[in-house]
Amino acid sequence: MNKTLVTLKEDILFCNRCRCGFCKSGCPAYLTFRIESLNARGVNLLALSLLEGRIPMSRGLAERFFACTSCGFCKEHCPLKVDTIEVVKNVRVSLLESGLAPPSVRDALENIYKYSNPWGEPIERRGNWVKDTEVRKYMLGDDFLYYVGCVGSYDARSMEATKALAEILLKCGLSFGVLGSDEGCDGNEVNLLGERGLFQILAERNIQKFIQLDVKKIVTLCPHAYNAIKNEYPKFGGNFEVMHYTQLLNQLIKHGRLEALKKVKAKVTYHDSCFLGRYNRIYDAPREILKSIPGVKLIEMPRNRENSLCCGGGGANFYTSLLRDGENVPSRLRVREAYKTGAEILAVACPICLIMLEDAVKTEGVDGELAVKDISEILKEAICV
Amino acid sequence: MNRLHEDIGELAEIVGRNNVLTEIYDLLPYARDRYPPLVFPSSLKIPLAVVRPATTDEVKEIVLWANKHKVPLVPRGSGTSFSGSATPTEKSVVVDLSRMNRIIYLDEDALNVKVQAGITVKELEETLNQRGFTFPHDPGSFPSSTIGGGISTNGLGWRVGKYGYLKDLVISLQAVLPNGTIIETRNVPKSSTGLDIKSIFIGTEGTLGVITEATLRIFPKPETITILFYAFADFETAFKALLKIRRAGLSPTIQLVVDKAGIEELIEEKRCPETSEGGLVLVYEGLKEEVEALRKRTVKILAKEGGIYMGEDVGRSFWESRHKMFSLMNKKGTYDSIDTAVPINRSLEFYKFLREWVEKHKDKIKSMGISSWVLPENVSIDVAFDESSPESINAYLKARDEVISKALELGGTSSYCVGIGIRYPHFMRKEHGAAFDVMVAIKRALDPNNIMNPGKLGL
Repeated sequence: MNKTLVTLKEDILFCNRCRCGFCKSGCPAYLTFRIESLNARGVNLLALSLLEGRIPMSRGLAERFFACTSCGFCKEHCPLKVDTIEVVKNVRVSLLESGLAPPSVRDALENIYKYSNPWGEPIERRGNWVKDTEVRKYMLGDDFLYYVGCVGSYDARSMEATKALAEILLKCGLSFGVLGSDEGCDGNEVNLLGERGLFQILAERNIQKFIQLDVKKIVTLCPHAYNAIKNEYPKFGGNFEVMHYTQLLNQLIKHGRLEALKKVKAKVTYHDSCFLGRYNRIYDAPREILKSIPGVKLIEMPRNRENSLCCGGGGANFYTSLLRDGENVPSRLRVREAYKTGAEILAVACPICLIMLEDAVKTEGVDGELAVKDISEILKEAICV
Repeated sequence: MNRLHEDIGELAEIVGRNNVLTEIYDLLPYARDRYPPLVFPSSLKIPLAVVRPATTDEVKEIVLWANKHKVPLVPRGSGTSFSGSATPTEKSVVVDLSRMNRIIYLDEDALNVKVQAGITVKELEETLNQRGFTFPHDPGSFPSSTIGGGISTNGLGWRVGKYGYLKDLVISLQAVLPNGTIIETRNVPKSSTGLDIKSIFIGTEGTLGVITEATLRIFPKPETITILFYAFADFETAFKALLKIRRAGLSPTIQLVVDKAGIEELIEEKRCPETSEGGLVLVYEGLKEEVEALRKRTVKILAKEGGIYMGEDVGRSFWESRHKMFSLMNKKGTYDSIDTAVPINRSLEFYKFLREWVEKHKDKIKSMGISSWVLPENVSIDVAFDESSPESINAYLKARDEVISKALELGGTSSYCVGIGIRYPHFMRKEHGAAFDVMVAIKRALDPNNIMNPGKLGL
């Protein structure tokens, strides 16, 4: 067992002493299958069993550990603040080293290593979304680097949000540029999957590039990228002023540089992304943007802010698909909650949530009644770009 | 495939392959609940399998299967029992009811709700709150424990003073008997037609069958809530003040007396005099005018009794931490709840005994607080012990037995809330006397093959 897991033994022991199970009610993996080995309490018992040598590592065990979306609900609601995300990550390190990771995890990591994206898409296509837009490459002296991330660069649906944000930034006259095909994977999920070596390569490569281009400020489309750059890159010497786009747009609205004039008459409910919310405590900016749009009536789902339910796409599950099937996958549970509020729009601020929830809206058969939109798309509509 | 695997394979025909767990990594987390001495996996007994039914009919088929193969079944809600009532033996199959989590109906006029047993208290309460109702069973394990689990251990929550015990909130039950028969009691609050059959499943820890559905009494969500946290010179003064409150005809939702451990942080924050060694928490909830009137009357009495009010924020913070406070007690060792109760006229004598007991065993036990929890009879102690070796655990368990013996000697009970499980089977005859034979007779009559949670309750 790896050394770091041993250093986490105190956390693991706290959970095994307590076993309150307060982590269960919002655990995406547990709610999907309702199996004890999938929630934090089960995970910590398995981790202690591994440390005791009571159970062997196996492919089946790996499927349990890689199903965790790293959403942070367990840590948020743990009275003892046990860091189960770190425990999971460190068990994953050992599982990867033993060659036991599920094939979808292995493939995604290999693709990221070779092509800097989890699907093995050609690197040169990464910047294709800029065609037909006025967005240009980042230039020395630009105020902001617009960092898009893998999902917003390659997925057709997410690209709409990518473009919407770009158009808003252009409309504001902000000085910014993108890296296009020079952009690399931010590595947030790689880190969570426990592939430390690859994460270091990705982080250092990006940091190097940002430094070369004298990047000072970064705005990200994706909360996952925001999290990696803000909280992980400093460990490798990369210190940049990074903002999620909801923070930047909210600031621009407050300073009068951006105003939503056109009415968007709709009841809207907002889904908190885990990496904006629980990881980085950005709860208000997305809501304030929505409230600034004339005609928008913001309704909260019962589970919101730190209690929000993950869409099921975090921790690489968006592409490893270990939580995609079944009646109770998190995205479908979340769409049911959104639908019950009577909202017409389910607003998100993350390209992964966008796709996960839009797919779930279709599966639930409510696509005529509930539209899933990124905040950038809603705002774009309201400022008449 | 050997015979055992073939038998387990039959379970898959009942609930589907995905709902029968047999891999070691899936079984281990079901090998324990919250019974404190079983901290380390090396001390656990791994069940043969875990089976996860979604309907009462599936439970019935599982019970028939168990009878056919003489395999014991261990019903399990969320595994939050402190007594080990959901811990399996090596040759048993765990019946995990967490998929049975539906609300079957909500009758707003009759003020009742019918649920499957595996729904968690939290899931139920959140749904009811959205509709303007509350189910006032509010245990420390509120976020995770299930309705079925609570009923089967005759559990207790914080809000007893106003709404009554969980057992009083159960209108009717559906259960599968050990021979596979499904029985359902009538959905009326009371009947004068012989033995109250539902009561044989309340507190019997799954030894007489599997509770599958319950109809529960609900209430309108209170308009307001007020929390009064007072400091007193000592536990005894606080306790006597509570008795005064009760004698004045007041019945707060929560009636909690704590010793110094319960107010230590507040002393540090200078909320009360350094000399304070006791505290009293009273909670009222209901209509605004009603709560205000109760509060005023209470404040007057407590001032006369020497209580020092510690401010609204202290009360609010207590209320917000009321579920997690038990988990937090695991920081200085493994937390255990010794949930004894004694007759009110022996309460202070028992409190004194507990203080001496802590002193006597201070080398192996840290007191996390002596309290009279929720109601004055429930004089009990929260402790943290050293779980690091079998010797230290055994020394603690031996010391714990002294508390139980004393509670019984004073005419009390070994558990007001957590249950017997595997922790106090040796005290069952002492506590019940000849009445224990009644339990044994019922068990033998209903479960001749002894397949339902054997070993629990001393049965």
